[in-house]
Amino acid sequence: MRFDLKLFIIGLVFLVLFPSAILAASFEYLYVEASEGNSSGGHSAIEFGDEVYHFQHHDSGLIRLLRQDKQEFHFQYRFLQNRRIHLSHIEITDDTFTRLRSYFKLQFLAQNQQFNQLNQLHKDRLLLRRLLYKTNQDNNFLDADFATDLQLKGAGLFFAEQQLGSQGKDLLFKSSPVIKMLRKKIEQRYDPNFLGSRKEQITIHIKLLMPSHWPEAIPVLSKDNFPAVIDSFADTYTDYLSGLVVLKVLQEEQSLQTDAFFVTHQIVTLEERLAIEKIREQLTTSLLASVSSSRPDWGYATLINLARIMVLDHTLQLGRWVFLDDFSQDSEWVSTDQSVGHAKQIQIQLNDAKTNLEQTRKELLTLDDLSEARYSQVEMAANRYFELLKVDRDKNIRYIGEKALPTKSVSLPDWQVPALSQQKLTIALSELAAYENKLLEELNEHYRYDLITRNCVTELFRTIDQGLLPTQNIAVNQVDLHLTESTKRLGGNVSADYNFIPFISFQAVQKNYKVTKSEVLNSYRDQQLAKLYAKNDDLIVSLREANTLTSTIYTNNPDDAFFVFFTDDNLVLRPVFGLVNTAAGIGQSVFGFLSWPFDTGKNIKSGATGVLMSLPELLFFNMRKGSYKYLSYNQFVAEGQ
Amino acid sequence: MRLYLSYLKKSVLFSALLAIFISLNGCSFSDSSESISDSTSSIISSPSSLSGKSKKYQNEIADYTVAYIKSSQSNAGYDTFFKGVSDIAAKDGITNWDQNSSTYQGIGKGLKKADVEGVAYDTYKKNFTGGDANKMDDVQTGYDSEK
Repeated sequence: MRFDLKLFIIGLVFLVLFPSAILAASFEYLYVEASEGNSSGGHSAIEFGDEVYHFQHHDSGLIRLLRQDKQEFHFQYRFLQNRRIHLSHIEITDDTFTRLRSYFKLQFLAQNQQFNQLNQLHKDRLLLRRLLYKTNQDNNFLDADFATDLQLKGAGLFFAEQQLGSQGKDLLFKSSPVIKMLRKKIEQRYDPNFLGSRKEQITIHIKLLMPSHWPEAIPVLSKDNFPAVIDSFADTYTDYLSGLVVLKVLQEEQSLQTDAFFVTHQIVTLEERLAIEKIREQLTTSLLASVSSSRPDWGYATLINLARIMVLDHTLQLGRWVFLDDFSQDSEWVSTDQSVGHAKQIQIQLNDAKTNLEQTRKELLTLDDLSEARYSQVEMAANRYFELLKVDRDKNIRYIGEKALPTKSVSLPDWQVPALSQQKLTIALSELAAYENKLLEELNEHYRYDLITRNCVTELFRTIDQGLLPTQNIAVNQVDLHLTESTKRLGGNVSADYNFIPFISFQAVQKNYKVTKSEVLNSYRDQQLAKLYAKNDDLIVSLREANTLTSTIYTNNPDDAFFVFFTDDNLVLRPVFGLVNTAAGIGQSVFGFLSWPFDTGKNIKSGATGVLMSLPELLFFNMRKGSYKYLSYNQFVAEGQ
Repeated sequence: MRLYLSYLKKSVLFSALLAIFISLNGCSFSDSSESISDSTSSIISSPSSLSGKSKKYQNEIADYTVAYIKSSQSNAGYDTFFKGVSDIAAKDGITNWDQNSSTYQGIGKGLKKADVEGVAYDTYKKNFTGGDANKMDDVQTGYDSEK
């Protein structure tokens, strides 16, 4: 093979003249303008392709890395929260891109596992304490959150909250012929005594169940270190109980709860009928496999399969669509007053939901291995549409809280408990407490939020610096290495030590990194104003839209504190407008004092927020933008790109 | 009257505390353990993107597999791993992930990403699939597809 010198020189000249040719990748640094309440100082994020990573401060006092779909993030911040996003496009090599994205991903997964373990510990503690209470009847071991935090997912589709605890059958009990048929199929496939022997098996497993062994010497929880995977005592126990619920449903031929499903007026077409029959068949095959599956959560999977087969069967019998209710029990409700106040937006959402349901129904006809996911989409679309339809009947609606799989739960019944002595339970509880304290201590050490030293901005830059390092745990001076790598790969370095304010750090990025393009992505109100200015007289639009009382593009959102003037697009008059807004906030606070006994402080809280958001306006700073809680995602898709 | 004065006192104190809190609240804040995306996911749905979601699902399983392998000890059981897979699948409306080839292809991709080779690879493949020949083939397909 001959070395082609001519080609080599041409290549070299090309790279010298066009160095950007080797920078095939890029990422975006985002600065989100300040807003009322949940991020008065602004926010920062980093975008790799379709994924956005950002740190969020949680009520536990810890800061966590989140990953969001790009579209979701922009819809949330630019439309619902109505905030402009300032974007810096930074060109990098493929290698740097891979290195940074992988590191952010690893951090995200590691944190998830760390916080998941904390949650497991909480549930294990509740269970151990409940078992101790059962052995010694000491009220000190009774926890109020036991019933809410330890639940049997999916069991609520077949049983009411108290029903599962009682051993006898409900007097109004009506057996289900579908379950009877499925039970026969299971017995034919396996053994006539299959259900009974499975029950015995699970009962024995529960009796022999031992608490998780939480190690005494916890491994050091470095930020990119995954905590050891430990099977959770409470999770295993609830999985066994879910299995017992499945067997109870099958043995007693239990029907669905009346609030677990809803019948629609929508007629099933001939093609849909065929698709439904096929899906019912697929689910039945899955059900037959899942009842004997070794996967730990086979109980929940089987409950969902059973419930879906029942509603599909019901659909075929009625010739009208029937769906399971997929809203979680802690869904956010919207009152009739609120929906009437935002009637136009709710109507847009209703139309979108209708279109979405029609589309998903068409998609369902494409039968392939995605059928279950496709059916879940129809179920979600139908739940959303029929929930929004309730507005027409002056009913409160569940607005947020749908799940891709129904989760209707009930608290744990006392059927079977592990055979553990008081001594064993006490030792397990003390081991758990020691581990939990140590874990909490380490989580605090790594993730405790601090306004200046550890916030959403500082952590972004720290993660970038760490991600650029060639390997972890290098013995040389880390600061020098960060500087070298960052300069080589990004064009410069932004130190987390001095850049903790979102706005300032955005300028630092512009100054130090290899930024090839910058742009401001408009907020929802910006876009609507631009449309109005294009079609109408500027002065009239300006006067009408500057305040909340006459604005045609803003309706008061109850989440926003009361205010009169928008100040984000009017720098000159900002202090004057701010004065009026401050007075409005004070007015609401005074009203709040009077209404405190009746609204549990809602007005006073809102008034105080209003004053705080208005005071900076007196000094030409703007925070408040006014939010749009009820915008439709389709509006963003159509206008927000 | 006395009761009302007590309300007023509490109100003033509350306002002052609130003022301090808001002015110090520099970053985006979430008052629940769920991510901000959980609050909008039910509003956002586009049926046409299902095939894209399937690929995303496979990649999420792959990433999760990498994370699990990095954290699991030699004596760790596989139940925790499967629970994690269930959580990912549930977000896509899938309960029967153990009968879905995308799941096992994702696991295969993850094993490759985690640089698992030789005997270790064979052991993981067998344990993750329960020795099922079809599922093992899917794992291999995923493993081979990852460069």
